[in-house]
Amino acid sequence: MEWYWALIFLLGMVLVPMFLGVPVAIAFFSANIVGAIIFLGGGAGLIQLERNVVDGLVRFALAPVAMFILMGEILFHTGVAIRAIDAVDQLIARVPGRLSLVAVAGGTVFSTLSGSSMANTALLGTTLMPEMRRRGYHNSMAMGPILGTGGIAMLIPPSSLAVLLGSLSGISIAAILIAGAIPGLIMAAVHFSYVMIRCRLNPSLAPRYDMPDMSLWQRVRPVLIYVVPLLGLFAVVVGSILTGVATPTESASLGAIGAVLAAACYRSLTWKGLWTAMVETGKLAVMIYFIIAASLTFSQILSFSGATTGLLSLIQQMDPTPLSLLVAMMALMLLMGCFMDPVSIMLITLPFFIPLAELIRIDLIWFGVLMLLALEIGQTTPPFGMLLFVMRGVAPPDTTMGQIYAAVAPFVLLEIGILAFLMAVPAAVTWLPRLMAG
Amino acid sequence: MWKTGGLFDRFLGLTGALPGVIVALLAVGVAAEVFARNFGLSGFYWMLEAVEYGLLTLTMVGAAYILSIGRHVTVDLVLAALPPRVYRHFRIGIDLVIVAVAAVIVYYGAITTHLAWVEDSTLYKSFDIKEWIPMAVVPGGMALFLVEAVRQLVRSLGPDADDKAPRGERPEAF
Repeated sequence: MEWYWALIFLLGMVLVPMFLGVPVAIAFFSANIVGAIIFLGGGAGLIQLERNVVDGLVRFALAPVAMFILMGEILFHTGVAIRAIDAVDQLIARVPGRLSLVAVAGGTVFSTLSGSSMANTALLGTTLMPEMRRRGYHNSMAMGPILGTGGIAMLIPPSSLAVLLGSLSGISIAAILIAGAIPGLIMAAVHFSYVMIRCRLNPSLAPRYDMPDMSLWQRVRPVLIYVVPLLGLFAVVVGSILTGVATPTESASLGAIGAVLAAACYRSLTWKGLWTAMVETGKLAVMIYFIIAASLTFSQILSFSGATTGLLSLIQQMDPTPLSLLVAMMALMLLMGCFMDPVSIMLITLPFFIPLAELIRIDLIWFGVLMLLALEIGQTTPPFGMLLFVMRGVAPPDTTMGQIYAAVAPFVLLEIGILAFLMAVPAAVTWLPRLMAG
Repeated sequence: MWKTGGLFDRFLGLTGALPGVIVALLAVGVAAEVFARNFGLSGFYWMLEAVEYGLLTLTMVGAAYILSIGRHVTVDLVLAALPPRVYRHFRIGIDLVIVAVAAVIVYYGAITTHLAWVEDSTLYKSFDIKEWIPMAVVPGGMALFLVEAVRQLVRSLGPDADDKAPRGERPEAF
């Protein structure tokens, strides 16, 4: 079979069932089964598929994905994260768009403690949306900042998606975790500025309201009690990776244990909260690992069929500039993000994108962070970005999907602008990991 | 029949709780290993391998439960737009694909496990474990998945299956 037919056939075998509603993992498995029969020698290929499932999951490097999720879930379900958001809430005084700014600042703080953008969005939506509604906030200033900030958890360490990208692509997990920090902070700063400017230009978007008179100390004290110690947890996780004391898996486990200790110190640790956190972590972990188990053979079959090398040689013959190829890859990911979840997009594109990135000799850490940002944007792009549905679940019942789309649109545009900026200025991504490497 | 179904539901509920417990135990174990190593004690040299097998086990054991609560990642772009009658036929088709895929994996998983057992091959790592043991986790977990997939197919074929209500969460184990 010619490589292009093999490519169309194999991608079709995954994408068609996927879009018809077959679970993503099953779509991968079905493509692998048919692919193994055609390209890997039938029964022998299917036995290899079984071995790949075991080999794919028996990987120490995959463990932080679940452990970073556990860390965030513990802080969420024990109420520690909600107290931290409340503390940020009290710190930010009478400024235009106050609650929207609390969403951005609080969401950024929680991003340093959670590896899950879904947990981040759910937390912010649950804690801040009712108050924003009560205060008459316009949807664009209520749901927009929450959705925009929710995804920052995918960039700022600890990010479970960054770990997954590192372990599947061969990019240093420690480097990609650290490299996401500055882009994440840039994104938070841009969202913060946007909210301030919009609310200053149009105060009706976020009506001012009277706050009880509080001294500076009364506003700062909750932050010192409920936020600063939690940032210590972030320091333990990132610091242990930076100093080489612990591997990412070990730092993730320290983070999870630290989250339990933090909840205990705040006297928020309950069996119910801990149990809920564990069960929810288990569900998310199984969802992610099952797709990984299903998808790993896919890249092997693509390679065996000649599709990967065929496509690479075609692109080599076309001799594109690195920038045009990079733009094309990001555009494709943004397009896929409108319809698919980030893990699936990553697993479908990685077998092509990493060889392509190596072909045009670009920094893989920079490329990895650009991928993460494109995946993050994809989580909030209509019509099927995952976070949009998380927001639908936590927003008041009368909220329509149309209102959510309209609210998130300016933030999506801002993030595409940040993606373009990071493509133009790679040092914004690579500076910190290079510093770490000495 | 219903009693058997109820028992299976309870069993699935337990398998749904297990992955979270495994993740928590692995986190405690790895953290303990880091502390032991950095405080000059002999670390648990087998922890790395325990984590690896833990990931395999939690994924395969939990997959059936996640199917039962409809939480496997799905792109419901087309499904959401279908009228209820057409949706029902689609649902049956999807359930058939899930059953067929699970059956193939169980069958070839059993063959692979049997081959490893006949060869009596051993993975010489920290545990010196027989290769068929981790291999058996895949057909074992997928057999559970297959049973749940068949149950969902039977439900789709039933008379009350033409509504578009999503397959919701079942009660948790605890």
